[in-house]
Amino acid sequence: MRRLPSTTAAALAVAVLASSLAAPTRAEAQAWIREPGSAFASLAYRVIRADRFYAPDGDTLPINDFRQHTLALYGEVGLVDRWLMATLDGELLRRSVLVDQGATTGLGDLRLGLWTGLLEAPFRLSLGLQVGLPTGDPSPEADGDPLSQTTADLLPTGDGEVDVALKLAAGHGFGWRRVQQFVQAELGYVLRTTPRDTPASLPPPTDIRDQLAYRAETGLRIDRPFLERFWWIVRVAGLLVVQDRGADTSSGAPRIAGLGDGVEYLSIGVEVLAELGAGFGLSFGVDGAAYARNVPAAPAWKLGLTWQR
Amino acid sequence: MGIIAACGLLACDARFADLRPADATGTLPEDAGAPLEADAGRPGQDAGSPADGGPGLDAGPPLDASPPLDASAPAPVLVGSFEGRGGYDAAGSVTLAPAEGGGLLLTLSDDFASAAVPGPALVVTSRDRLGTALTDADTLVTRLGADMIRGPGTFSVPLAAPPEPAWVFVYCEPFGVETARARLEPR
Repeated sequence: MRRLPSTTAAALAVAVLASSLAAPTRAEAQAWIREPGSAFASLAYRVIRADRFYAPDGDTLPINDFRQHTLALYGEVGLVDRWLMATLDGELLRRSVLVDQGATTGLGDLRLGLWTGLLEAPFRLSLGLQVGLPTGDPSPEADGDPLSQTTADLLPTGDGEVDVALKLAAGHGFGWRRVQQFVQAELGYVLRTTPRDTPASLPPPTDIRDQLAYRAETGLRIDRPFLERFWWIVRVAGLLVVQDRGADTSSGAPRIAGLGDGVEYLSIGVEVLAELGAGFGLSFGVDGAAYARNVPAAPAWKLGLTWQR
Repeated sequence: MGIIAACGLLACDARFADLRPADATGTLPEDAGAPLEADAGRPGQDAGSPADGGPGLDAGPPLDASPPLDASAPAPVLVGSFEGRGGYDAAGSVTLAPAEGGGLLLTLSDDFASAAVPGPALVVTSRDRLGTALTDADTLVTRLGADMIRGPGTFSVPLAAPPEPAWVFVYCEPFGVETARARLEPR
């Protein structure tokens, strides 16, 4: 095999190293550990309008009209150069509505994470530990008749349990001609536990089954005047239950809010991020499920404000 | 446990808003829903009786608009086996039989089990599917509590005779989803 001249090889190595340092500056990018003082945050409004539901067997069922509005916060801040970054991910507000029946509004669950860099070249690789905190309400109370309470039981704002996720994230940024591109992938095991509470109309809480969480994403930006302000992103993401509980009719409590046991999905999404200047940006995207269980069967639309320092 | 307790302190109760139109109060008649004295041993349930207005066997005209098979003849004993609907699991059987003094009794078998959705309702109807809303053709018998989605139970049905054909559903009313169904046929 013909060997590359040493100068060419060195130049290639530098190019690969430099490109792997490039990051999608305005996206969730846990593979890239931020420098101390560097931070990214997004505040996103998300809405789902559904009249169908992915049943436990994966088929869709007609349901009464359902709306879900969330205000989600995501943040990253670098703590130790190359080695440590903290993340916060959660729903500051979650409102679930069964039209003409009832609605719940409250704080959703939050997730805190710490990420450490394992590799910087030839690609970025980081390891993260995330802890999900049950700050939402798994058993909202209704001051009304039993039907009101049943409706409230269907619309929790949290899953009621602490969960721990161990994740690996890999990423690589590169450029060719006038296009900058990044790819990143994430795989994690989510250890679920027993909710502290469930609605009175349901059996006592049991363990929520563990899940595999995965995500793959690619984005590009064209280095042309004006176009360079936009990142165009395509992603697939999903959750997969890893334990089979068989045909236990009392297992779990599949609910319309997409929380609790047995939630699975494979979603495909597109998003565009636009730089506004002064560190601010706007994002707009939509995610839809190619396959799911125990979640509303409708696209999730997202409009977000991002900020980076 | 400490983490969970700390999170409990951080957690915020959600606020519920009733969005039903002012004239809607749910489809469950006030006189329906209580299990009969035969089920007094089931935990967490108040046994109803005609004396306390529970079963409501004599509480006015039947709610079901379906014509009885023959109003003058005793209603037949009907039985059926539950099947899961929409990916929800179900097991066991159901019997619909004439009650002493009139009306009907719906009995769930010892091995009855249905999915743990909030507030599942037992519905007797002539329809083979309920869709997302109950109609005048459906009789909501009771809502099953958390301790009632398994095991036996007996409930009064405010009907003079079974509908034709006769179906029993376990139904999540706010959601509008069937979780179990049984076709009833003469024993």
